[in-house]
Amino acid sequence: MRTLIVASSLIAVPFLVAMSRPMSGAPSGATAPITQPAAAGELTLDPVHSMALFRIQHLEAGQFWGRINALSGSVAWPLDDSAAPTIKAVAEIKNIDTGSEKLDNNLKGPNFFNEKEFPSISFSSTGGTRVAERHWMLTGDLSLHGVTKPVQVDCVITGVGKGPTGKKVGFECQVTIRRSEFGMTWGIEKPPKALGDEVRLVIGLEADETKAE
Amino acid sequence: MLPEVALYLLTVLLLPALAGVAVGGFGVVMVARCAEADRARAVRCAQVGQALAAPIAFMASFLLETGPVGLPPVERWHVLPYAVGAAAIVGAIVSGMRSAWWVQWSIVAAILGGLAWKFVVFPASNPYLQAGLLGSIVLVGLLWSAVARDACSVGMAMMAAIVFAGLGVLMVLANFASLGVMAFAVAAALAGLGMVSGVLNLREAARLRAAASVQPSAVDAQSVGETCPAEAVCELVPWTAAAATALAAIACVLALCGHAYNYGEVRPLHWAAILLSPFFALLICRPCLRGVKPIVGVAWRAGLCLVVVLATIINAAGHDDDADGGSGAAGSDPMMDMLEESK
Repeated sequence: MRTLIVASSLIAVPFLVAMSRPMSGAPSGATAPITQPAAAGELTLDPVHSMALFRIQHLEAGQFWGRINALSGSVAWPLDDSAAPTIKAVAEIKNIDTGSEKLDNNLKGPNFFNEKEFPSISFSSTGGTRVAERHWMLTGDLSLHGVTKPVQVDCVITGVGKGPTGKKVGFECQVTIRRSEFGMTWGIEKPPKALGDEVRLVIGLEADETKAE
Repeated sequence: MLPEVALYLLTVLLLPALAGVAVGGFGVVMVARCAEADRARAVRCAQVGQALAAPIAFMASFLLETGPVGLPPVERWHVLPYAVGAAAIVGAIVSGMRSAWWVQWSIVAAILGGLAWKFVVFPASNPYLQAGLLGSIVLVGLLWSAVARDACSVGMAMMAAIVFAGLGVLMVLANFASLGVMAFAVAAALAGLGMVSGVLNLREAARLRAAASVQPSAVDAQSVGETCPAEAVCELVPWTAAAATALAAIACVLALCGHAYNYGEVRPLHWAAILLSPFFALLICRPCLRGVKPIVGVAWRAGLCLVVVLATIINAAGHDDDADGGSGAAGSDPMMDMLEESK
């Protein structure tokens, strides 16, 4: 009898623990914001494979794309997708890359990013709402050109693979901002319509599981 | 697109230039119409207007290009309208004083140099750079005061216009287009002021010639000034040392700002050469232009100043092209870049 009680307890405890947590991948709670991940895995951004692409309309014609290479930062995300990823990412303006050094220098200058005064762009997520499995609408603060504003970032976990230090997780996030809200107005009205106001950002991140010391 | 660009240029260049010319030129026009008895007082008022012309053009251009800025400014270069405003006030007040040129220069250089040392701080500024700014305001102010004493008002305005236009081009090369536009607006205002002064001086000379032919005794050297013989370009409103020093201080602050935010291949020597170009012209012109008609002197001085400025711009643009050639820009060989990096 005693053996039966002990055996049933051993079976029941993990079952009860599992019941107390939300089902992995379940779309339940799609509208309820989840701010604190439960037992989130600590991941470090891989700068070689993390970059931000930006798109802006040029002279009311084409959509021009540029990128900022080597993003750094960290992500906290439970691999079972039970909570929203908490992303802290930093993009250094010196890593801007449009394929033209002249244009890069122009973008680094005071008419645009003013790299000497505001050397980086940072995003820090504060919470998120599940859209679908491994798809979150994150809320957070974007700091750009000395101005910090709350933004909503559409973030998809693109895959979980194996990296050199453990698990490797891929994210693709998108957000559209109005640069005038961040004090970057050159080219919107003066000179007129040289560049658009809306900037679409597509951020590709790869994050590695942090090895325990 | 083209009408919009034209409207933009009209807004940020022409309107500020006209505002500057209106303030400076109005005084000159008033002096030209002024009775002989009130002339000394009118000249002082016009000199105050002359000292205000360039700063007003700059501030109008800044306001139209960037919009109003708060205090303390969000971006460090937004301190410029305050610095230029201080130069306008100090230059105008000291221009209205009856004092020797060196007193005017000392007062303006000390006040503006001190203010710049304390408040005009750009990114990567350090005590050496701040000392350089203070020193350049004192030195360039002194040299421009000497130029203002040697050249007539038309020549001074034209040389200053060439300097600010040159600074504008360097700013564009340094990838700071909006500050370049502001420098162009100042240049346009100074050129306009020079033209107004030139036209009125010529008219005044014609009037004096006519008066002399009717009644020679009515026009003596004292009443029109020794620098204004009837056959020459008359000197209606000579530049004061205070106005010249304040203008030099504005040029120095703009040059340092361009240097601080430089993302091109513009070197400190380029800014310095353009700031000193009126003095080069003075050094060359002074020994060889004695006795020539003032209008010839204006042409020589402005021409030599222009040569120095153009040579500097060509040199700076050449450096810029060299830098592009060695970069990973479109057209270069990525494989060669990789090999270079692996060395």
